[in-house]
Amino acid sequence: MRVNWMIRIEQVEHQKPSFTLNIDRSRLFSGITLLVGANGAGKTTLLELLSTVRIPEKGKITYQGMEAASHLPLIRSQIGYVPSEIELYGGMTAEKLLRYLAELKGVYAPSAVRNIIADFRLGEYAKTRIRRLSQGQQRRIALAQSLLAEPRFLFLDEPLNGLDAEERKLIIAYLVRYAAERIVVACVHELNEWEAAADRVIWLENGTICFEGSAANWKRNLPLKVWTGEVSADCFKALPLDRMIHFRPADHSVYVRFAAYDAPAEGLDASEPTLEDAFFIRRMIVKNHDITLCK
Amino acid sequence: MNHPVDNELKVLEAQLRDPIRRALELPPSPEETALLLGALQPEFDQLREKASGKALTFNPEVKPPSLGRLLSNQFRLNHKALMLSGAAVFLMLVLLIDPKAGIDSMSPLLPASLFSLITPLMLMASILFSYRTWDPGMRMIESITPYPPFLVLFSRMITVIALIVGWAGLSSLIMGIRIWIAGEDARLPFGPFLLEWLGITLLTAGIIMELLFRKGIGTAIGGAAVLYVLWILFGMMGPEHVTFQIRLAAEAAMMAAGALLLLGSYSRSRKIIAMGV
Repeated sequence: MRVNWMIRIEQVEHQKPSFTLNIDRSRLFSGITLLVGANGAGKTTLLELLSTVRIPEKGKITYQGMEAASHLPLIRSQIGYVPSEIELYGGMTAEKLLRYLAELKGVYAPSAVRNIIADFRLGEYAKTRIRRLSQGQQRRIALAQSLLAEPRFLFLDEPLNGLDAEERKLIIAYLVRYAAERIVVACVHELNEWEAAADRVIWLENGTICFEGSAANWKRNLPLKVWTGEVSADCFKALPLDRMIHFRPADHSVYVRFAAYDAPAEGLDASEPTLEDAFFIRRMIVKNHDITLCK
Repeated sequence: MNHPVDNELKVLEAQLRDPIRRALELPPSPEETALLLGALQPEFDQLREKASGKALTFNPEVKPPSLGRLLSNQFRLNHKALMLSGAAVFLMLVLLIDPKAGIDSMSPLLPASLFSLITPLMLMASILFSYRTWDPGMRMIESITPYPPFLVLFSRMITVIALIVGWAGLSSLIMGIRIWIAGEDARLPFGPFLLEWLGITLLTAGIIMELLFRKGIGTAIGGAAVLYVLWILFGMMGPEHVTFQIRLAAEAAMMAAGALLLLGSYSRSRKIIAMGV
């Protein structure tokens, strides 16, 4: 039977120089939750609070009913975290760093490090000093360290940064399997690649949660439709850029993905919105307060 | 008067009103279903909340945290570099000092023995080298362990301090033996000699730990450097100002103060649960 883990956020308030993170109530469950929002919306701060790197100034976060302040060693033993930017100890080899961090987390079995090296395809570079490795290889080591103690709660801040397309697919596939019985929260900017992986979405805007729910619900009830197709260059120039989700030059035309209530031009068809479309549309509404768009 | 057929029609109409309305009603559209599902999301979440009943425990492969394990882990982080550099420096010190001339043979013009001058410097350099955690990302990762984050740092630093003091103690012993073998003319006043380097070294360590947890590594090393300079100035004061007994008492006080600061920082390191990053 699938074990359902839960993190509960209650009336959390945390001051930052440019905004205040203010979350009245939120629940995180087993599966992959994407944390989305513009830069400076409070995603990283929320991840730091969840991973216990910071303690909230007000309110509380409980992990399976346990509050971090009173069960810190236990809760921290069940947390894996990858910050968005990290400079690993360059003088160490990948293997030595992973062994060091594993022991720090209380994992002494050599097989734990061996397995994670194999899972993240680091065997070839395990004995190389980290400073000699590429950015993508270093990122894989950063991801690998977060999984050393097989934590129940995994928090990833832009986990796919610096990885190539193949590595990104592999990591997402790995996380989907991993999240079956664990909570994985990933702060992401590129949503399309998570389309099939995400279970839930939390959208933060200026430190508050604007949406929290299933990935399917995230794409439903949007005030605008998504229109796709090819238009002529002249028609493309006439389309307002602030509603353009995506465009790509084609042979003698331009392929566009556009948000509007009605078809904005000939040759465009209504499409099912993706996670990223939904984000763009919701952001458009917030930015423009353009209620007429929604009719 | 109503015709019986009219009455029957009325009854029939009343009986069929509801089934006909239901038959004519359109099934919900996908949008309406989606809307309903969306509206029910909080209720689904509540059901999941109730279903999450399993207690959180340590994973079986995770050994419970212990100070011994932490010290061993932190020692192994830097031990090769520190063992080699410590061995080289203290071996050089032992070899530089002529046993027949005694501990002041290399430093007749210096305010203290070479040992007392070099050991705190070696300590500062080693702490700076082994601090490592310059990067906020690494600092965060190292703080998410079953141990309080400052205890991890404390353990790292205390292993460095123990290593340097250990090397200095071992070298003092070797030097004492060399001087003892060399003959009766040159004697090493072992107690005062130990007190001389141990006093300044422990106080340097204590100041570094105290400032490290409050103000960061830069201020900690800066504070230790100021202490070192003040101590040299103190050493330059001649016997007409500072008698041998006063000097001994001052060194004993420095040693005690250093040990107290180290104990205080240990106690604080256990209490701070999150690291400022």
